[in-house]
This record gives sequence, C-alpha cells and structure tokens, in this order.
Amino acid sequence: MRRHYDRIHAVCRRIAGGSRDADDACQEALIKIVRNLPRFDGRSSFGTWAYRIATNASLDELRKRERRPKLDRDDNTIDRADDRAAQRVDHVGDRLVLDAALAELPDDLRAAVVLRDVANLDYSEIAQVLEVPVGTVKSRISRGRAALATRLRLDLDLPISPEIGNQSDPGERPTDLT
Amino acid sequence: MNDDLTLLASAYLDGDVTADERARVETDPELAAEVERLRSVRVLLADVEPSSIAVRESLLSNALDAWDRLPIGERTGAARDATPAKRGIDPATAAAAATITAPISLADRRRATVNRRLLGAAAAIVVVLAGGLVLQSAFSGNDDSSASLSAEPDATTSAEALAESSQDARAATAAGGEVAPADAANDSGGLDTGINTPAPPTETDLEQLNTPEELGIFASDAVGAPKAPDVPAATSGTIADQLSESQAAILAVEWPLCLGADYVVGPARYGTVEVVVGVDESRTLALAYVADTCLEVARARLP
Repeated sequence: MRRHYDRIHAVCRRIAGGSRDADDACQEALIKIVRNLPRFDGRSSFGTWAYRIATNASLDELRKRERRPKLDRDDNTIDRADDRAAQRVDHVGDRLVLDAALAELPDDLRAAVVLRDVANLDYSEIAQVLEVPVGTVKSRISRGRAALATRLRLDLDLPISPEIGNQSDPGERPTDLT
Repeated sequence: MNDDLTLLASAYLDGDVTADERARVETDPELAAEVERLRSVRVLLADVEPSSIAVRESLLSNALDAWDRLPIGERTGAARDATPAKRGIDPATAAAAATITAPISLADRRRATVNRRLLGAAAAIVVVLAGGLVLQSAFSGNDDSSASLSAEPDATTSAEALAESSQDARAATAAGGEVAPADAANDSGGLDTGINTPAPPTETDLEQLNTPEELGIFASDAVGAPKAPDVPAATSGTIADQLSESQAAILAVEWPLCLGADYVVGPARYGTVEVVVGVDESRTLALAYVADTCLEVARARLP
C-alpha cells in the first residue's frame, strides 16, 4: 500500500483537483482498497486495480462537490480567486493553473489523461479501468491533452493569458497607497 | 491541427504508432510541433507535488485501521475460495489461489506461490519435467541405487543441480521419492479446480502465533537456528540436510521481502492469517505480513 501511495494520491490529486478534495478522495480510495483486498483476484495487476478504485473515488468526490450547498461553493470560489492571484504572478507551470485547466475538462477526458500521464497505465489497462474500448481511450487521451494544451496556451509559448490573469475591474483592484 | 493529426501525435507520444506513422510524424514539422505541445502537457501533469508526510501517514493509518476493523475471517480472502465455475475465472489462477488458502504442507504453499506468480499450470509442468530430466541425467551417471542418494557424495551434486535448475523444493522432494498422493494430484499440471482439493491443513503445518511476543520468539528461534528454517519439511531429513546455507537461501527467495524485512525466516499463522515472518537486517525486529499484499499483520522486537 505504501509502495503505491504516491501514485494513488497523484491520481486523486489530478482528478479531484484541490488538495482537500484530493485528500478526501485518496482516503476513501485507500479504505476501499483495504476493505476489498480479500476480494482482489489478481486478474489485473494490483496497481491497475488500485488506480481504478482511486479514479472512481475521485470522480465520486467531484460529484459530491457538485452537490455541495452554496456555502461550500463560496468556499470554492475563494479557491478560484486564489488561482487567479497565482496566475497573475506565476508561469504556466503553476499547479493552480493546471488545476483550473483540468477542472474544465470533462470527467471522462480527465480520467483518461490522468491515468495515462500520471498513473502511467497503458491503453489496455486504462480501458479496463474505465470499462471502455481501447480506441475510445486513445481518442479521449488525445482530445484531453489537446484541450489542456489549449487551455494552458502551450501552443503560444506564452505565460498565462491576460484574460485568465487579473480579471477584476480596475476599480476593484487594490489601491496603491504609496 | 485537426483531430486526426492530434490523435496521431498523441499516439506517437505514447509509442502506439506503426513505422509508417512514426516516419510521417518525424518528417512533418507541424506534427512534430504538436507532439511537443502534447509532451509539455504530459510533463506538467506528471509533476504532482507529493502530499505532506503528516497527511500521508494519516491517510495510511486510517486505511490500516479499516483493515484492523475487518473481521479476521475476511482478511484471509475467503472470497478467493469460490470455485472457478462460480466466478468464471481462469482455473489455473483459481487453483493457485485455492492452494494458497488450503495448503497441505510448507512445500505445497511454496509451490503455489511460484505457480501463481510466475508460471501458471503449464509452466509448472515444464519445471517439473526439467527437474526430472536433470535428476534422470544425474542418476544415469551413477550406478548406485537411488536409495543411496542421501549417503553418497554425488547426492550433494544432485541436490545442487536440482536447486539450481528449478529453485523449487519440488525437485528436491522428487529426488527423495517422497511425493505424497495429494502432491501428485497437485502436480498434474496445477489445474486443481477444487475436485482434488487437498485436505485442510493440520494444526502442525504452520507455527501458530497469537501475540507479538510469540512472533518475536518465533523469529528469534528461527534466526538462531543452525539452518534456514523454511527449508521444506518434506526435504528436511534428506537432501535438505546437505544443502548449504546459500542453497537454502535460494529456496527461500520465493517469499517476498516487505515492510523493511531483510530476511525471511519462514511462514507462520498469526491468529487465523497466514503470514510470512521476516526480520530486519539488524535482526532486532520481527515482521509478520501477508505475502501477497505485503500488508503488515504484526510486528515485535526480538527477545
């Protein structure tokens, strides 16, 4: 379990997004893995089996987040505001920017891309985890990567675009008191 | 860049292209640029900041608590005992799993581990045949009867050859002519679908441990033993007596080293869970863990 922890956490982090949600998803995944361990039959590798659980736990966490009452959504809004603050000063590699780009991907694309690029599963293993054909996996990974590249403006080789940088009206910006 | 070209660039990045496709990507600047664009995404995604040690330990601790709360019977994998027909899985896999949960001896357990992990039923047959051939060739060069094996100088050579050729106690057992009927059933390709399920283990098959203190004493006794304690019981009175420590170590490599264990001292039963007992390099800490999963069941200081 300890051996697989880092990757399980990374999958949760990339699919569920914010660190708090990722930790919740990771905790849920680890407990499910432990509880279902006696039923693990070895038909797939332990890693593939564990990442499937982690992926499902992360997607469940996302759905829970969608159902949270408005008060919690306000909390998320605060997170997004933090994202923007970071985007103003950081380059495209900023983890918060990446989180935001990932958050805008549809769940099915995000899961496929994360399982390939974070968990390093091959197409057939991802097909097992997501229970879709290999061709669908390839397509989702391709579209997911392309969408992320576009969101991150990697094609322009530029830092974060002004439109997702400081978006507040000039009147709302802090006044320079010096 | 249309979707087809992006798909091609993505597949190239994953190494999932034909030679023609590869050549096309590598000669087309636009496609090559798309590959680099997608590669940048992959690099960014893979760079996940690790969770803090405190969070990691907390999450793992909670998960292990969940394990502790599992009824003890569920931990041993009762679900794996279902017949293959019920579960629709490969019989060889099921046979290997069944052998793990209902072994008849230490040697069988060891065989089951090898079968499940490395060989499957067909490969097991090959190993047995190979061992038999080696044995036959060893005997063919010696006019003495096989009964003199344990007393003659050549016996050591035979035992070494067997250990080296198969790294399996099965061969050594065969050399001693001590294959039990139940063993023979298992040896028929490993395709045990439950019809020839061996008898339940007797209480004497595994050392029964119930407390960390007993675990510590077990490990301590094993570490202090003159010979590796996990030499298969069936061979301990014959060829195994003549195995060097290094050969015994070869036989022991089937058990996984987990949780910081540097040496395996042998299998045991802790509560109702079959475990592997290992010790650390300094031989101060005994660890009992499940072989398949490396899950810790208990630990103790050696007395």
